[in-house]
Amino acid sequence: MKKNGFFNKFIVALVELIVYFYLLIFFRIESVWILVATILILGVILYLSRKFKKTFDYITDCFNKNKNFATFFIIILMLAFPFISKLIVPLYIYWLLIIIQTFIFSIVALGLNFQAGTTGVMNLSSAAFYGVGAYTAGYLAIHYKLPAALTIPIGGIAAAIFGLILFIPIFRTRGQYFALITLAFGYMFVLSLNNLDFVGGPQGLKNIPPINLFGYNFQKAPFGTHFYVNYYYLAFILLLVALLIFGRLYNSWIGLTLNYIRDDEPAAKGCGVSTNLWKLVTLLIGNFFMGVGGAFYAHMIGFISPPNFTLTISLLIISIVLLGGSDNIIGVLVGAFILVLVPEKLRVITEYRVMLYGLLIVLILIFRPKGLIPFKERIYHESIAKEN
Amino acid sequence: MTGFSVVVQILFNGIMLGIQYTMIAVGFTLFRGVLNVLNFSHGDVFMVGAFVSMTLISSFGVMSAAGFSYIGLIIAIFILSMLIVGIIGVIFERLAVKPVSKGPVTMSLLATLGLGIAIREAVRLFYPRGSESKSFPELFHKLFAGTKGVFEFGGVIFRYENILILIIGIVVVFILAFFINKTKMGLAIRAVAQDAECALMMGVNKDLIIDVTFFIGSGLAALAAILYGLYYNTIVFNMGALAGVIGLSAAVVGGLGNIYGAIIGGFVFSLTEALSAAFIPRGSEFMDVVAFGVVILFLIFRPSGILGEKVFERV
Amino acid sequence: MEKNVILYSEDIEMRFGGLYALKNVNIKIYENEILGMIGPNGSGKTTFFNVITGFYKPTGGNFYFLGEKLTGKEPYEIMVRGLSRTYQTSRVCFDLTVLDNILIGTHFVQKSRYFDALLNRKKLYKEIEYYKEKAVHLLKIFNPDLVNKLFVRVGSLPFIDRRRVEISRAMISEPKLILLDEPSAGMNADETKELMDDIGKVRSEMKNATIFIIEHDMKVISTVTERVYALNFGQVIAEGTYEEVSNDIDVKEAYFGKELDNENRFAA
Repeated sequence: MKKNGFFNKFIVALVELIVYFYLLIFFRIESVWILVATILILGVILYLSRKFKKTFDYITDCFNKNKNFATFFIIILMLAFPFISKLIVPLYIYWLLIIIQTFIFSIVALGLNFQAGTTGVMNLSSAAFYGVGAYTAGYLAIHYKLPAALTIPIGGIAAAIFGLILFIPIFRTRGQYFALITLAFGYMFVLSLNNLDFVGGPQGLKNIPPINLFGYNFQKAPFGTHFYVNYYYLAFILLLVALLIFGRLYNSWIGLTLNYIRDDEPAAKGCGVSTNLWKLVTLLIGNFFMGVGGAFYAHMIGFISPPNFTLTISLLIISIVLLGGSDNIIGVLVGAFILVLVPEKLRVITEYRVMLYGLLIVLILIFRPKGLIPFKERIYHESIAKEN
Repeated sequence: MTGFSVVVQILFNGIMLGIQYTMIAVGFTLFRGVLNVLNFSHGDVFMVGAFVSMTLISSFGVMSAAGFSYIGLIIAIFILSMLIVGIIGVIFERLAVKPVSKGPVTMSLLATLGLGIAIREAVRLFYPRGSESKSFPELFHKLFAGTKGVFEFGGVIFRYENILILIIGIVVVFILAFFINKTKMGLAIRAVAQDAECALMMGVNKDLIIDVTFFIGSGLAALAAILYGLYYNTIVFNMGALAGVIGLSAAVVGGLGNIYGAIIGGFVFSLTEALSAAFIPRGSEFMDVVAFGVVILFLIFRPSGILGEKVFERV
Repeated sequence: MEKNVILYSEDIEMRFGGLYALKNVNIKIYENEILGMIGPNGSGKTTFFNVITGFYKPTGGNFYFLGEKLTGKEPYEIMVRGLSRTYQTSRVCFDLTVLDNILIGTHFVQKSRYFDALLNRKKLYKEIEYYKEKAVHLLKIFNPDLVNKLFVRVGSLPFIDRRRVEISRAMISEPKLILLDEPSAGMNADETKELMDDIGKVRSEMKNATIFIIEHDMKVISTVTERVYALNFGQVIAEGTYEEVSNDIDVKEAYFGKELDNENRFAA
């Protein structure tokens, strides 16, 4: 392990830049072949990583030892993304929107991950809470003219309270039945939306006002780009906040207790954990983030309707959590990127998207139920892991 | 419509629905018992049954046959559909359901959910004009040619065909109950459902029984699908989604793992829906919501169902 | 010398449908003693543990810990008053680290919660560090090797080490009463000997603790315990030292069956 700190950081930056520019090329090239090329390249990298294990281990080590720098650099890259993509990708506006959608789903998936991955509470109606946030925000913005700075948090709170009302009677039920109830609830939510006129029924809510943050109108395009850029930065900040919160929760008593509830609830009870209360709080927090994601979406797109919140969307969120790796916030990000970006490239097969999601879930659960990103032990903090 | 005729109509609707729900619910309960999975693809197997039988009916030209060949063809359609769908069910079980049955039940729930969606979409994409609803051909009309075709009771008009459907359904349910409780195979199924390890030790071929169970369950679903098609005359690619959720809910309400429970659950569910449709304003739109509400209440207060046993968690 | 009773049960009854798993169970646990409980399979030993830790709510009777009636309370309400337990099937979370599995034992004594996890990381790390030291101290007693494996998945450890992690988890909160449910289950003779040493170490480490052990292995009971209860068919059939209980007729009958009556053997 070379001792030169600067060189290690350079390696980290280099790897990140390579991935970054590959992503941009991925966006730029229209043809489906880029997807084939990507899979091939990934295959080659996988092969090389076995053959040149030492080099790859060294690179991984660089990342592990320079976590702060790695994170910092990625953030810089992502902040610059709108402008750099404008230079390289002709359809950058479209891809901006897709990336924002990825951020939104990441936030929702982080919420679900906290419930299902960390605590083992299988919530199959994440789209419904996403929907509660969206409809609450939309309704308040249209009929009460509340600004986004209020509607988005309120959307989150509404989703949390909604979840509370729903889950308090049922969280005592055992895992599988609980999952069933959430499934039934997801159906009931969409059915009700279609029949409730005050939220627009099957037509949904239209003309939801865009975000206007402390006087800055999000419809204005900054620096001659496009007004999506505003939403991009806000979504990115929200995502960072979510990552920070969930990361910290994981590396603390909270994460430990929730993991214990997930893996062996009676043992947790035997250690004095009031498991029902903890599960409820988990549901609250997870639903809050789902609602925030929905509220943001409502403002950005301006129009929401029942088909946005069906079981298919819940399944997408679940796939994201499963694919990346349950209880792993980096995994959730990876899962979101793959599951939102890849289908976009496969416009040829947009029709087949839902079927592929279904198949994907089956395949993941059969072959790799732990997800793509390997499991990492909880270390809390480097200082604690150091030997005495 | 007099009060009595309303009741009769509701009862009839409830029973017709109930038979279909029961046949699907039985599948769920059997799968849960024998493989410890919640098989969400079962509803979509039901849908496949509808499409398979519809295709068979049109290809065999049943409509234009007459006499004994007509009756023979009808019986052949029923048997062939159940056979084909039964085999399809076993294939799905081998490929996708069994591999995930070793983990926690929520995993099989998710996996079969995904499988069901894949099946649903596959039909939509690959069956000619799959996204449209299809009209299911009439099968029985020739049987009653030359008769009035309907009779009246209590102010409600009943078509002979529907009565026939009802009778077929009831007979099948009885045959099923007999099979499970009085035959050797049925005993083997119950043994595996109770305690698979023990059954293995007694010389029961567990894998075979699992295959047989899925075969029977899927075949039953196919039968339910034919009856559904004959009664409602319309099928569509996503009919399995709701049917599956309802079938599972019915099985749970009756008590998962108990055949009689599935039967009771099926009728409880269908009668709740029939009653809501009749008495709640805009009931036919909300009847599913009401029924789900009932299921949720059961899951909260009596998750073992009407006939199920209470289970204590071992510490 | 009058010893304090820290836990006693009054006519505990536990019915499952028509079956009495426990009936008229009156047990006293004195402070600082090492108490054993024996009985054939299905005699209700673990059921009794489950009752006094709140996992089962008794259908009759009461029990009191440190003078407080705890009947009908949930496990989390009971354990926080100073009990801890291990389980017959050694419940630890295989996917979590050794440290994690021990730290969870401090759940009801540690102070930081959501607020600190999010905003006051320093306080959180200090607390974790403090309990980590305690965990290291405990592990050193049982198996110093484990100290190097603090961040290893518990699932990769041999069975006896997993037991030790479980026992450390039960000890780290410094409980007043530790319940050990068949700690030697699944162990061979050598491992059982190590276990008996471990229990001795627990005793010397926690001088004020009371230990209550369920066991099948009579060697463990005879070596380690000071007093024993014997159960059969859910009822207490004997109580006393190991010598007294093992010679008791009812106990022998429970394990070996009725003694053959010599006359009847040749009855026509």
